[in-house]
Amino acid sequence: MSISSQTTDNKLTISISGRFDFGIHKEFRSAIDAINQQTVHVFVDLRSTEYVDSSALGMLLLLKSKMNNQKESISLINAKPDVKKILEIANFGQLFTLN
Amino acid sequence: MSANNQADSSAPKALIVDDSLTQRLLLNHLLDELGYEVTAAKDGQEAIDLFDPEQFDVIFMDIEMPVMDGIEATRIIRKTLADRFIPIIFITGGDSDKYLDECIEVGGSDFIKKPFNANILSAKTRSLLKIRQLYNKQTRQKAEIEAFQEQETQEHEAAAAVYENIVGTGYMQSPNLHSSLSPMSKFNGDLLLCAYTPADKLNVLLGDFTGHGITASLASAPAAEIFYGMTAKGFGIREITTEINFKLHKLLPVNMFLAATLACLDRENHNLSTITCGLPEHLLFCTESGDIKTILSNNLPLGIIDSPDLQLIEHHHHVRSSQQLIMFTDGVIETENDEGQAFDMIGVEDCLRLGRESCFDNILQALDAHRGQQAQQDDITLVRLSCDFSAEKWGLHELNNKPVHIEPSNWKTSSTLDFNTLKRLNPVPALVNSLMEIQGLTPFRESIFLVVTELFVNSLEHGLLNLDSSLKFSADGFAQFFDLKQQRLEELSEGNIKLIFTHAPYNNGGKLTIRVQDTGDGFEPTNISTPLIDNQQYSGRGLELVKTICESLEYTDGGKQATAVFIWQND
Repeated sequence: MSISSQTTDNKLTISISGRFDFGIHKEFRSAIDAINQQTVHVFVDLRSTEYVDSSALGMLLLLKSKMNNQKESISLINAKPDVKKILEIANFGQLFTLN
Repeated sequence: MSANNQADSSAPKALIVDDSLTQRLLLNHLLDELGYEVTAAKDGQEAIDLFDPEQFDVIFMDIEMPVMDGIEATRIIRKTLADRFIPIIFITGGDSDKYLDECIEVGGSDFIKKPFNANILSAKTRSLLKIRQLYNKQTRQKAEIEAFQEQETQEHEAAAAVYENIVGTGYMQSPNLHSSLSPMSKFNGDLLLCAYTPADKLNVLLGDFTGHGITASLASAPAAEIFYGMTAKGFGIREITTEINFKLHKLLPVNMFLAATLACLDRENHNLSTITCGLPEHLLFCTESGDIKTILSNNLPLGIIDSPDLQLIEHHHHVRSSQQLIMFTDGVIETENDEGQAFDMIGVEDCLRLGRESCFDNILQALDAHRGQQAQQDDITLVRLSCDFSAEKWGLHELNNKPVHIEPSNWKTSSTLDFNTLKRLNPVPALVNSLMEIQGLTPFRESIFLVVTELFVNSLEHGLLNLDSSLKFSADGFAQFFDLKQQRLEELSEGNIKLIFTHAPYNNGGKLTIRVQDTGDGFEPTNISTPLIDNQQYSGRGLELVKTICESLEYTDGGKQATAVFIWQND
């Protein structure tokens, strides 16, 4: 299982390990299905993510639309330099909180 | 598809092949009891003559028979069946065990020993018929899949042809643009477009849609139409980018977008403008000095947020003829070798420095070598935009002199644009288009566009905004000039520019007088114009070009009014 997620205090944390690409599309979708009216914040933990491709960026956009496009309510955290670079090329700092 | 004659409703049909009449009758009787319809043959040859694959569901075959033995008959029957399956059960007994291997080799399905046991016979035939049903089902499904694949291939080919027509329409080759495209499928998720504006600027778009294949390239069509349409009308890359973003935001599902760079090469000002939206960094490489300047992506990919929220950052680079802009999609730097290592930027830069003249080929070769035995993982597009402004490379485009007969008439039209309008839009494309409509001047479009643009831009920059064009002459000057222009335009709180177009019949054609007035302080036109000596001129060629195109050009009222007269002839 390359995706694990848990909700604490209405905050959802999704951790992705290995390759974040089209291969985990289904798992990611079911992870974000946990988002409901009570969800106040989503953390996407990328500490074990080795690779991110454009379909992964697309999945993050899906997550964003599920959170009503609120930049402040989604944090992409702990990204390794290679992964961070891809997020920066796409200027995703404009859409998500990166740290 | 061959009919499966062992339909659930009708009785299964058996063929018995045995030279012994007693055995035939006995087996016939037993099978009859089991509900079979039976046909009998007395040797292999007769069996072959009788056999019709549509007529039988199972064959019982004796081994040793006169004329033709069971093994030979089975070999022949199997051949005629090709990919159909009918169980063949060998009848064994006595010393026929020695043939068992051979029986299986020629395609026997099972054996039944004499004397026959009704229970065993029933169980064996039932199980073999079940296998036959499964086999037939699988064959049928395989045929369906093959037919589906065939249809899909044809549809893909037709769609690919349509795609080529849309994306390729108006595609103009440019001697300044070289590219290598290696799509992963018939449809390319990568997109490369180029076209010249009427003012002779070269617009280029390199894009990479999320994913690849048909979904990725579906949205290429509207992007290409906007790019070609707006470039032909003379819009700049900022307006084109905004429009493409607007369209894609409406069209694409949430998780899809277009990473793209739009570049505009302006020979007049030796300027390269770039709007980078989510592609890996580009390299501005000088073939003389080996210097590499990195151009980072500083905008969101297109189609993600609505255009009013998109605050596009545009960069201006003063360029020399020895410089080249190297652009690529992520397929290049993500190409992995046998150890899974990516080619990355260092690989690209090494190639550039190694062979300055042939840097492009070096990258491609290095990429091939790096990939080794690995299959291509993504669409790969590599683009080199040469800033070579020499006449051989660039040259003025041939004016479109298609012979058309136009009835010249008398008319006059004018537009006044106040400072607020000027902040928002460039009015030249729309105004020139309306002139085309009124008089059908399309064959002279490029010339008229160039004249109107020059006069308008001078009025704005030097009249209303009081900018000093000598700024443009230094290496970083253009960027400064542009920034200052943006700043002053935003601060502008009064003034307007008026454009008046008067047309009258003249000789065998017409005379179009273009007058541009502004409410600024006026300027000395010779300060912003330098003679058109050669093609390496940095700036100020504009008015000289206008003079060569027009019958006359005159600045009056202290530079506040420009009047150009353009004369056209019917062929």
